[in-house]
Amino acid sequence: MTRPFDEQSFLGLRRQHEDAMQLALRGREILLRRPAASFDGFGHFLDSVLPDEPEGAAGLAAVLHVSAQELERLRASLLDPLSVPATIVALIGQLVGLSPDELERMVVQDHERFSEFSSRVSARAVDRDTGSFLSDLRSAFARLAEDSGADM
Amino acid sequence: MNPHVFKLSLLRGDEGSSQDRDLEWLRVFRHFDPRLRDFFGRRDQALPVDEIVGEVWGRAFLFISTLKDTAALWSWLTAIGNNVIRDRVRTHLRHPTGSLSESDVATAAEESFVRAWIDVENDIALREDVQLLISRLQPTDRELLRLVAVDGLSHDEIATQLRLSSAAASRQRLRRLRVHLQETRKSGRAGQGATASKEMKE
Repeated sequence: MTRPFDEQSFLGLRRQHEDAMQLALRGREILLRRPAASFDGFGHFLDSVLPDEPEGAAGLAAVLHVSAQELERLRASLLDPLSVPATIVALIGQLVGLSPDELERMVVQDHERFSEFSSRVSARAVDRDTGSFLSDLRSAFARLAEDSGADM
Repeated sequence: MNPHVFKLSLLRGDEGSSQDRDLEWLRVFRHFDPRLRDFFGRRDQALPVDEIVGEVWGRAFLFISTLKDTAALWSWLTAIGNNVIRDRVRTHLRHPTGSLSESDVATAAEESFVRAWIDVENDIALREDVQLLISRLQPTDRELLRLVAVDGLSHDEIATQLRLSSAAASRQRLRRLRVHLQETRKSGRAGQGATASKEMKE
């Protein structure tokens, strides 16, 4: 039998989300000061919003359903965002206050850097994969937007 | 201090220590959790209320920075809950577990949306009222409800499916349905069969 969701569970869940809540605030603050278009890709943007301390990044990774290593590689632009589930990329984008267009542009920028070096994959296959990922990304983003309190 | 006024800057994390934030969130939890359980739990156990409520709180933590006013907390939490239920219905329809029938989960999702539309925090609609309201809908309104609550289609997709002129027409149709349900509930006419499509033809 699963444990009932009581006050203790609630507080535990809140503390798990503390880093994500701080990330949401930091993302919005940064976007107020600096336009999303000035970032040279998703990794570049992540690097400016993610916490520097490894413990913070690890807690965040758990809430975002990625490994801490994947998050670090995304941040360092060492991982193609298209290799991460679109739902996770959409969650990060939604959390930090990016618009779907801004998120898509950043993701494509990072992805293109990877595809430039990929001689084994035909351009057509890359385009098809990108199109399918971006379509999934948009759907996931739209779904998450329904949980936003912005229109309340 | 009004016990039911919550400080958004503390909830969002703009100010206060982690302990202050814990305490403010705990106040929110104590106020809303029993209401959420009541709201989402009246469905013959068709959906696991403990899991749904836990998921609602998790999403509330993630997206609290988007909320502009704590007066909207109740509407927001129930909207999230409906989204959680719709996600579960979709997953269940894609990967049936055999524990619930397709119709049980779809009906639960429909009821949940209608309850959110007609309810205010202190006016808990009885499950029978909601079922009666739904059962009296015209087939076109019922189909619209199903497309929104169970299938989760966008207004563009609904317009295509229902052969409406545009997404705006779909939004308008849904608005009429909500008003119709709210007014029918208020006037206690659930059993009289008036419908949104009949009352307000495009």
